[in-house]
Amino acid sequence: MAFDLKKLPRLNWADLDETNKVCEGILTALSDRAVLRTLVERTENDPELFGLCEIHELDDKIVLHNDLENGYRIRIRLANDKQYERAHNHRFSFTTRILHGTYYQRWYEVKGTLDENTTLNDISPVCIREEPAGSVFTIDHDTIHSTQTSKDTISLVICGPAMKDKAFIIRMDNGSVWYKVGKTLKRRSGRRMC
Amino acid sequence: MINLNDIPVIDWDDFEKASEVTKQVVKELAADKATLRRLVYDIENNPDLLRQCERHQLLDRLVIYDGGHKNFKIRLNFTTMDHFDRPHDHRFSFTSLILRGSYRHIWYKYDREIYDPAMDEVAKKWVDRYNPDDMSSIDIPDMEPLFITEEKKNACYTMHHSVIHATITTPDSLSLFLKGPGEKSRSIIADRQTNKLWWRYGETDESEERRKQKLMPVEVYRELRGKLETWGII
Repeated sequence: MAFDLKKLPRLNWADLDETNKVCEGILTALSDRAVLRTLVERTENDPELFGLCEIHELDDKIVLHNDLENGYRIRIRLANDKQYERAHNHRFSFTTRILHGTYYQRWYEVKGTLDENTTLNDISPVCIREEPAGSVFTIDHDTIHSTQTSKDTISLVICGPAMKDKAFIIRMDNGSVWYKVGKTLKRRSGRRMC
Repeated sequence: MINLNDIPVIDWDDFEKASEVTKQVVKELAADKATLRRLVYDIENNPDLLRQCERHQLLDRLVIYDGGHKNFKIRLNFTTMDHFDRPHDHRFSFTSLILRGSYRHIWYKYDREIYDPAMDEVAKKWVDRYNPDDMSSIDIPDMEPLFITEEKKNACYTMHHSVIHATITTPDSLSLFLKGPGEKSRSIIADRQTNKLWWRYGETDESEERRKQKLMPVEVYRELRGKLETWGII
């Protein structure tokens, strides 16, 4: 089955409601095995897409499509087995469809803003939930959440353009805080401790 | 077979532990049709439970178990034919398990203070959509979505009473709902279409008139019980 990524409608990430509805349809169509296979194989021979793929401690990312001008960076996220609870926000808003496995997700409230001064006393979970395979959710870049996964969890993600320079993370077992920046601001890979 | 009398006292201040315990309870109860059936049928002969069953514009509610000092009550929430985007919080924290149907679920952000204790008594006048709070300075359009998903059958989550969310339902959806005790005197409910808001209070703070308005007639209870049987829930 063919899927023409060049014909995707422009996304308005400022309207999360509308974007959620549009992305849900796109992700459902993209979840077709044959479509996904074609896109994954294409990435290997596309230097731009391949150059955007990443490996991290907790997950790896294969980029399938990059058109941030119209609101899309589409990637597959493969969670690694190492898991720990880390509350974080993002530089960008995004929509996720769980293809395989389960996300164990928490929402958090924080006193003030999540930044280098945040301690464990400032942050608390306000919703504890599960997202099984087939779930789709859209999340604003300012939302603070954590996601731990069951073994071999894979999700398909449409990321919007970056809305801020830094996304903060706080490790909930020891309170260590750090931030992530985008490639244009990154001077070295991985994280910096605050 | 689950015995709800064996559930220990739930400490909702330990949100994580409360979630773990209450999720297990609702999942086990949902799988135990015989117990669920007995609880639903027992309502008709239990005046205390029957008078807690309520009708609202967006949902009908059966109270099937009152845990008393153990800090939980269990309800079955049935959606009606009306579905609106009404951001609201709750006076209590709770765990919900969807048994049937689905709803669009939105977590909203509102950065300013909602509750003014000085207004707790005055706000008792504004308790439904016909008597909204027109004096409030809360800016409903300022409530912004943080998270949007579609909750489907078997979705299960525990939510703190401070969260403002909206559940835009579909007809004939059903949830098993385990709630904790009230932790604030009132909760807010806002309508994004009309830009009106009003307040919800606990039973002890409600007027007799408000209680009568919501009270479910026994005929409606029997009708809902019939739906549960038709749907294969009990």
